[in-house]
Amino acid sequence: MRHGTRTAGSTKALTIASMLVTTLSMPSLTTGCGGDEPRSLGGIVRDEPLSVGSVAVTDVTDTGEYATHDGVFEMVASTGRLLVVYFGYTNCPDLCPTTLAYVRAAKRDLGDDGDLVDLAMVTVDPDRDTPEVLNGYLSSFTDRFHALQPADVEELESAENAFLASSSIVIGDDGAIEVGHSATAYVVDSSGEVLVEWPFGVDKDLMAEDLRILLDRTSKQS
Amino acid sequence: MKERMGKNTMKKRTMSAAMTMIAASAMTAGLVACGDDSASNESVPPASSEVGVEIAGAWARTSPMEVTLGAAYMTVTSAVDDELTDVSVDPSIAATAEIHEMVMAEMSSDTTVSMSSETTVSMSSETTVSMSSDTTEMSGPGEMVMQEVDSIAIPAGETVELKPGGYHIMLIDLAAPLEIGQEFDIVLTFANAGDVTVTVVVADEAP
Ligand SMILES: [Cu+2]
Repeated sequence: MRHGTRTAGSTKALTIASMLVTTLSMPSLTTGCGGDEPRSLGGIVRDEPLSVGSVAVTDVTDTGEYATHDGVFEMVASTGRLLVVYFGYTNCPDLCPTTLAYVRAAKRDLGDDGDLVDLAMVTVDPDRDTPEVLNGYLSSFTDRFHALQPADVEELESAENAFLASSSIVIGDDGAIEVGHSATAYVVDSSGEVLVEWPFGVDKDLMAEDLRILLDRTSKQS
Repeated sequence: MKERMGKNTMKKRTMSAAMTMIAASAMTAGLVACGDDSASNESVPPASSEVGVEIAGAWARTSPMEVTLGAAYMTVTSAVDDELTDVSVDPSIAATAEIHEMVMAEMSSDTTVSMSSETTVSMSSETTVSMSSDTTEMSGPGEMVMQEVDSIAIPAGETVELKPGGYHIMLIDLAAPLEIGQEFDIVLTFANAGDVTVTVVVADEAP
């Protein structure tokens, strides 16, 4: 069994509050919606973007658009597309489906361009989230998904570390499994760079607006 | 085991509400002007009891495939100080219902949950991570965990929200997937107001 607390406690000293103040810059939102002024991203943008393209996680996708793959997924978007990455688990009734439903709604709001946005979910609970469970779960949100089930703790941790994500699993005496996880979603481009981060609570409108901006940039580049 | 923080409900609520929502509120604040159809059209009239508890906007999320857990949300207002102490649902919907809360894990030494004897932590030596120096300079978001709470205080005149990232009513062992548009009842038990039945509408997102 791979259960255990896998997080180094020392790194948790920084709170979200201090994180936002000290290490991240959050552009102020434009107040007019769809106005003439250049639009800026509503999510978190780091001065030094995270680079995650070298992260590889075991790919167990067997349904949907990406059922064909070579068994390992690398955290880069296909050319001209964007990739939303989420670390979560299916026995998560609150945070995970909230965020994934917002991603689904944001893709829908983008119309045809919503098809240019892919979803990759890395389960932080790979013992319970079997390929069957993961594929079924994700297909409730989109058919353009990559179901990623880390093969072992090291694989999960190296993926989390690259995103500055973390998770932990604690098993109680009664057998109850408590999963903790950072609940941020990440938008990654075709170079493996994290363009924007959406902490939990970011809603579908902001996601759609950010994706619109990033897709516009992407189409200008290509 | 889920009650590892015991009766510390109010203190923890303050913590979690304040900390977890900083990022979100900072960002969503600017979006209010965008004129979304956020005015909720409640298809179900507010439930109220004689003693003045009012419940509005009750909804539960559609359950994704392969999932047997659900969550229901609502707002609760009371004319007098009250306390939500129990929740229940018909077995045709779910085997159990519990009051749950999302909290930040490992915030600081004050608030870090000490692993008491009631929780067993299995940790193999290979899983202890030493963060490399370049990752400690930057910080990610904290972890959030779900826990059961004994009760939720409903201060007189205040509206207490059960919403994603905060409190929810957890539906355990769903008898069947929750389908969009479906309606079912949840019985809320209050210390003062007694039992109040609220009709919950199943939806993809908050109404
Ligand atoms: Cu719960």
